[in-house]
Amino acid sequence: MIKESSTTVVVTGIGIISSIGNNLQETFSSLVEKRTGIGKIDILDTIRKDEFLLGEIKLNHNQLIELAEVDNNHAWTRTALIGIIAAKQAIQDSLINVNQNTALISASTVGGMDRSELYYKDFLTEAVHKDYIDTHHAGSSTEMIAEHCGLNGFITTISTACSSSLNSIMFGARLIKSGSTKTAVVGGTDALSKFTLNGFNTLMILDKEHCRPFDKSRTGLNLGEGAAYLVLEEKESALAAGKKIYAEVSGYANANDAHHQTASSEDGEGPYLAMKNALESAAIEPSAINYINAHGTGTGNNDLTEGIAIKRLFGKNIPLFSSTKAYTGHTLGAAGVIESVIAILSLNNKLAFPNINFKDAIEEIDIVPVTEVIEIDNVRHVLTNSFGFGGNDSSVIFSSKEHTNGNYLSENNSTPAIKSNPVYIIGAGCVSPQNTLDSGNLLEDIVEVDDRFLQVIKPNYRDFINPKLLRRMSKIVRMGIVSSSVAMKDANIENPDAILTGTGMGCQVDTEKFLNSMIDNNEGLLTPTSFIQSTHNTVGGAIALGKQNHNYNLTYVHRTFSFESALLDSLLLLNEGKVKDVLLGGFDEITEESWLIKTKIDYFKKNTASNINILDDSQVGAQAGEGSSFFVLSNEESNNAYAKVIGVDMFFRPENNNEIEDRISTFIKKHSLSIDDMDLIILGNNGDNEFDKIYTDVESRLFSNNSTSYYKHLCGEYDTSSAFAMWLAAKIIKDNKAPEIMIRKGHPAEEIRNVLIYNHFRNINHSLILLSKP
Amino acid sequence: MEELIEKLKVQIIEQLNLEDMEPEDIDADESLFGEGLGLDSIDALELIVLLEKEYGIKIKNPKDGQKIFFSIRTMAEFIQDNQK
Repeated sequence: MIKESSTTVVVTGIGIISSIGNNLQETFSSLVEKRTGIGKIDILDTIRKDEFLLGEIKLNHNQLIELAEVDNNHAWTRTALIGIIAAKQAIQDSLINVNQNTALISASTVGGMDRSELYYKDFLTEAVHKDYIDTHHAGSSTEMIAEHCGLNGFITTISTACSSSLNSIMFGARLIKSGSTKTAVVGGTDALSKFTLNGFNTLMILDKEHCRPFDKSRTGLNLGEGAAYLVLEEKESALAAGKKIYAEVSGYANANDAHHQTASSEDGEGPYLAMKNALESAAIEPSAINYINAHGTGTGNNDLTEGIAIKRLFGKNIPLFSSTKAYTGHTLGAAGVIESVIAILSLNNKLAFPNINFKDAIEEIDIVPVTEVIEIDNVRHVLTNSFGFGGNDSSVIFSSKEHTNGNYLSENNSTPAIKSNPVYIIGAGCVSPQNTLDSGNLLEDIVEVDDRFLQVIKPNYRDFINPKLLRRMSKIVRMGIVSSSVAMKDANIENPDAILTGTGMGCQVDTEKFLNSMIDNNEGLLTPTSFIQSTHNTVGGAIALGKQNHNYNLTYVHRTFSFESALLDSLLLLNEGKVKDVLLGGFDEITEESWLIKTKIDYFKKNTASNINILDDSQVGAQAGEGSSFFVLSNEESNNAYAKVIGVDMFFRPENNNEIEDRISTFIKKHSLSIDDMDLIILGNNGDNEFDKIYTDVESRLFSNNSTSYYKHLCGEYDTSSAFAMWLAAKIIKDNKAPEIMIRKGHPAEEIRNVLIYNHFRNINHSLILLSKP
Repeated sequence: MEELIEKLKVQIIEQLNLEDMEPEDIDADESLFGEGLGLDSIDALELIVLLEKEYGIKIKNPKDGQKIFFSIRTMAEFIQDNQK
């Protein structure tokens, strides 16, 4: 087994805003003075103003614009504004020069919902507020942060419900360890919205009083909002630059509870595994942990389960622990990083912050959290937990910079750098508008339609899914489960070592259903099903639940970087030597409303068009589509391997076509190949003439000697359509034959060895995937 | 009572999206959760909204649902006792 790289990752900058303070200093003062940020609703415009308490940042939209020092003519979401405020603080604090080596890994659960819920009906009709249509997706706040802070390195967004931002810290640390980047800004942002308030209300887990984590009398959580970012750097270079170091990111893990979509298991298996694996990753014993900042939401279910998991792991020697959610409220996608900041404050100030509002222990577990601000002697390691819907559980350990290796188990030291392992596609499954589900001959019968958008050919879902479970599953979940089942069967594996998914827009059917009924019924008579199904990690969670899979499970949600980010994470995992195989998928669904809304901003064509002749269509926009493609990736080459994954690259807002061509050439060269070695280029032309021009330019300048092809006439335009392209490329390499319907120019070589996929979304998000013959 | 039971069956099938079920497939005394129909805690929350929407009855504590939603018959009895 290949050990992890010897690089140590440290925190050199912190930025934070929440209901307990607009910066780190104010946050610290509130914690020490036991001052909660939870109170009556002043900012959120909801009919439930007098019914619930919230942890609001007491600044309205214009005040946030002022604090963020941004231009007030732009379409900002509250999520983006608080994200910018926190990210800017972190960058200034660490004194990094933002440059191409700085990645931004952000997290959010509802993205721009704070504006979408105000203007949604208008989007459907006159679209007066149409600037906010494209701020809805979860990656939008990340892009606004990147642009405003001048970050132009790798960017992506993670959404795994309430564990989201712990996962972004973990991914950022792993990127640095792998050598992919030297510096990463990591964290998350989530603003309060009526959508989440009403959603949690349907689950009947909101406390109308102040929440009381780990207390016998607890009846639910209080929601909050906030954003926080950490600057992560390599320890060596941070030390060389004389940087202030807050802490080391010494351990982390993600595990899946695989018990229920919203409730945690009775034995706390997911939380237990997350903490246990984080300890293993830090190579320390449980007894080395000095303080736990618990997830501790205040719901009956979470606190009991988390307590059980803590007791299972730590036995009788439970470290000092507290939940600080009675200060901040539950800030959902931002909770992980906000509580990481609090844990780091504990470490740096040798203080444990109290679990305010606690009185009596929960009888079943009888554990008592810290209730006053107390000093911790010799604090070296602190652990923080975040658990989310879909059973998504994460733990991260921060260690003091002074700690010696004495506390570590011996095997972790002086490990070799990561070496590059070959990665093979050993199984594939695809649901698409074409006959791809059981394709003997690739694309033999082309489905031609003359329609507004392309829809998948419905499989017989009952062949794959228990009818009882089908009742809650919308289209995207169904097609995700079917295509992943086909891929696993194809690879002949029962249960993968990790599940990685990407989706640009997530579960649109459920999001629309909940949003429409919330607006139509003025926040009354809402039901929970569509709310819980609307989280971006629903498909990944449903696969884990179905397979009883407790392994690493992440969902990337950054427009046309979503699938590519999940692929990048898969390659990292396989290179780290921690897993043997990975289930990887990309999926998006189209709905009547989401199509209509995007015709208003010319993203999609307004009228019907023939998919086969899409490149000749003169209407503005692309023809919308949908689909789900899954793969099993493995380090081990099987006899049936489709292709070898050589690499993936993403770049954001290139300055001009020259930069695009440079990035493509550099990417190919980096993998010791030349442009002439590319036997087939698969381009993302989608019939949107304005942006197809970029493909045509690149094609004529860079690929004049190569055979080129396209694919979106087969599947339509959607954020994860590159997964469909990768499915095609894998088949093409295996069959050594490219379907005529795809070819733009030239004839692929007799032996198709290397296939390059180049895709971009409106010249914003560009991506490259390179596959070769095994 | 029997009329209410039949009406409830139809409403439950619709509210919970039980695609394969017909009203005659559900026994009024069969348990809705666990062994019987196999509903879970999310369904219970859906049923709470059904009671409010169709019958104007509000349930404040989700734990009360366990008794009320034991079977279609217990649900019907609860509605009869609490309506008006």
